[in-house]
This record gives sequence, C-alpha cells and structure tokens, in this order.
Amino acid sequence: VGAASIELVHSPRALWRRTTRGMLLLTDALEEPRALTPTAAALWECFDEARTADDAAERLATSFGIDVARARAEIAPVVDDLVALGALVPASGT
Amino acid sequence: VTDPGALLASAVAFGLPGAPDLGLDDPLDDGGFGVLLAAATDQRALGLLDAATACGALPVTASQRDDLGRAHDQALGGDLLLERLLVRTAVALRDTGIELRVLKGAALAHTVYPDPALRSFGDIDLLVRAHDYDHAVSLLVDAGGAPRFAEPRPGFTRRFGKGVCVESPEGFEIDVHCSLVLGPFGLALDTDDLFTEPLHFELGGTSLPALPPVPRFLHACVHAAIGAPSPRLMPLRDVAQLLLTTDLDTAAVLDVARRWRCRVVVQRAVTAALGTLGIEHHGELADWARAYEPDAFERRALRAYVSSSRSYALQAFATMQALPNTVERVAYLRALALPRRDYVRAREGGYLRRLRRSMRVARQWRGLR
Repeated sequence: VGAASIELVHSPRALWRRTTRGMLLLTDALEEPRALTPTAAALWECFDEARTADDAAERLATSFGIDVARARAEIAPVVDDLVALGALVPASGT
Repeated sequence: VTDPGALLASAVAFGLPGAPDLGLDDPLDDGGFGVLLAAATDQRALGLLDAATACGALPVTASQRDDLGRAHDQALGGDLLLERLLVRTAVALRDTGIELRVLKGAALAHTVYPDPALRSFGDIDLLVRAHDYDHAVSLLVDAGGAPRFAEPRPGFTRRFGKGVCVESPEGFEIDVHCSLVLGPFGLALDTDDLFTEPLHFELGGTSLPALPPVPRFLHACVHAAIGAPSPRLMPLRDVAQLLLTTDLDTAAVLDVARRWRCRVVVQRAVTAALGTLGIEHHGELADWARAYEPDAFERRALRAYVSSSRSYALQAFATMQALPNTVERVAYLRALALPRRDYVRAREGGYLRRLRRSMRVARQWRGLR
C-alpha cells in the first residue's frame, strides 16, 4: 500500500481500547484483539484525524526526539499493517 | 487501608469527586496484592485499579504492575469481542424492525465513563419492547444462540418476566430484556419510559441507542440495589458515576421513581454507593436518600429481593401484589402452577417434585398473609 501520501484515518468499524501497556485493536479482519505496543498506539492516535503517514512520522519524530527519516522508515510497515487489517482507511472513503 | 477488600472499594471510587485517598504509602506484599487482583477481576474493576496504579495513587511493584496490566488487557480484549457481537446483534435485530436499547456495561462505558477502559463488562444487554421479545429471542436462536432458561408457559417472560440469557455460538452471553428486573419492581415500572428519545453512541461504525438519562440512572440503581442480595462494586460505581459526573435532574428522577414505585431502590442504591465506596457527598439526591421513608409496598417488595428470608414464595407474593388486576394475577398463578412439561422436567425433574414444591410455597404463602 502506498500510504505515505494518502490521508488516512481510523476506520469507524475498528474497535479499540487504550491501555496502560499500549492498545488493543479489533477489526473485521481479526479473530481476536491484537495488542499494539505503546509506540504503535502513539502512531494510531496520530490518525484520530485525517493525516498522511508522512505527517504522522513527523509528529512522532518530534514526540520521540528522533530523526524524521528514521521515523518514516519505522512506521511504514506498521501503517501498512493497520491498513491491511482495515483499521486505517483512506479519509476520502469514510 | 491495607485490607484488600476495603482497598478495592476505595479503588473503585478512584477519580470521582469526594473519593477517599487510598492511603497506601508502599506496595502490598504479593499475597495481599494477589487477593486484591482476584477480587478486582471478580468485580470487573481492573480498569479502575489499573488507572489508580498508573497515576501513582496505588503503589505497586514492577511485577504487580505487570500482573495487573495483563489481567486488565485480558478483560479489555473480552470487552472488544463483546462489542463486536453487540454491534452485529443490534444491527440484525434492527434490520428486522425491532426497536432496542443497549443497557448496562457497554452503554455506560461509552456514554458515562471518561474512558471505556475503566468499565469492563461480562455480557451484552439489550432491551426490546415486550411485543418484540419473543421475536428477538427467536432470531438469536435461529442464529445459533441457546437460551439458558425455558419459560414456564409461552409468553410468560414478556408478560411477567425480565428476559432471558441467550448464549451465542461463540460462548458469549446476550441478555435480552423486556423489563429491567424480575418481580414486583419490574412489573411496577412503565416500560414506555424506557423507549423515550434515546441517547446514542457510536460503536464499530454503528449508532447505537441507549437509555435516556433518567431511566439510565434508575436502571443503574435497580442493578446496584437489587441486582444481587449484596450490592456489587461496579454497579455501585455506575450509580456514583452518574450521580457525581452527569447533569442528573433530581426532580425528574424522583418523579419517575415515584411512578415506578421504586424510590426505595434509589434510596438503597445511592446510600450504598456513597457508603460502600466511601465518597463524601451532600447533593440533593443524596440528602433526599438519607431522609426518605419508603411506603409499605416498597418495603415489602424490597424484602423479596434482599432480605435474608427472601424466597420463591416471598417473591411470588410480592409479584402478585404488583400486578394490576385479577386477570393478570390469575394468569400469573396459572403459569406458575401449571407450567409446560419441558420446563418442569428441566427445572425440577418432574411434576411430582413440582407439586411438592408448590404445596410448600402455598404453605409459606398462607404464612405470609
């Protein structure tokens, strides 16, 4: 999925809970809830509103004090996974 | 507070105005924490315990924090699976024209608590109108669900009962309600009040209807005060949460409670919530509850739910008194006296044992009168 420049947002069908250890996520594609790490949960929160993966990477880079390029590289597979699970969807489609 | 039971009650009040300090400077030993964790799991209070721990109000060791986090994650995972089932079930019922309201855990978690992770639940509760009740249950059965209880006679539950628990094919419990509670208080309430303009909440891309504020509070009181002989902690927290954090119209609450003949239930719920959770509060409804004198109907009806001498006969007698006319009383008695064969076989092993029990009830009844 070439999600870097597409605005994404939480799917309204996704169910989730923030926890003290990260987040739990359940979508139609999952049999059981999946646990997300605190970093993945922070990424998820970036998509409370429509945002591209690049924008999310910049926000996380600022929050965690890391290089933007590194943040982009690290979040890309997580974003792709969340899109594949149906947890993130194109903002234009919601 | 070092007694785990008392500590849990204080933790259940965590975050509310007037809640007690947990009063713990150092972590419990692992044995004490294990007792606390087991009790919190049983009471579905892990979210509040986890929140109290996360902000430092409840000191724990690193391993205790891990144990609590794992237990809470497990509870939350269950909540999400139940929510998926709730959405699918609500949509399926609604698509066949059945009007419904989501009750208790899921609805409260999403409409009353600041974070749904604070309010876990163990089943889903749906209220339907009495005339839709049999259809709703049959739809769930057609979808593979298994009712936990048979009715004594066809139509008994929608006329005199509260509802039934249907076990879904995945093993989850779906409680289908046509009233809020079994017995005299259930029969005295006006179910039309429950279907006035609902509060809606969004879940899984679906807008779900919940009870409006006054019936929602009264249902929380019913569940807390008479849902079990001894009030459980999370239902008490629900009452306190609604009382202390929502804009509750006291006059409207008392007006509807008067019509439902359940002001004693509100009194018991409010005083138990504030007392058990140790919350300092002197609002209008709390002050009313401290002073209210229940009437004879309320006292007698309450005994059927919570007294140490509560029994089948006592509840049946109190239920009879709440029925509006002789026709209803005769139908109620007939259903209890002459139930269907499969009901008798499942519940009591046969008609002979049923007859002996009925005679025992009749003797108790004469004693009650």
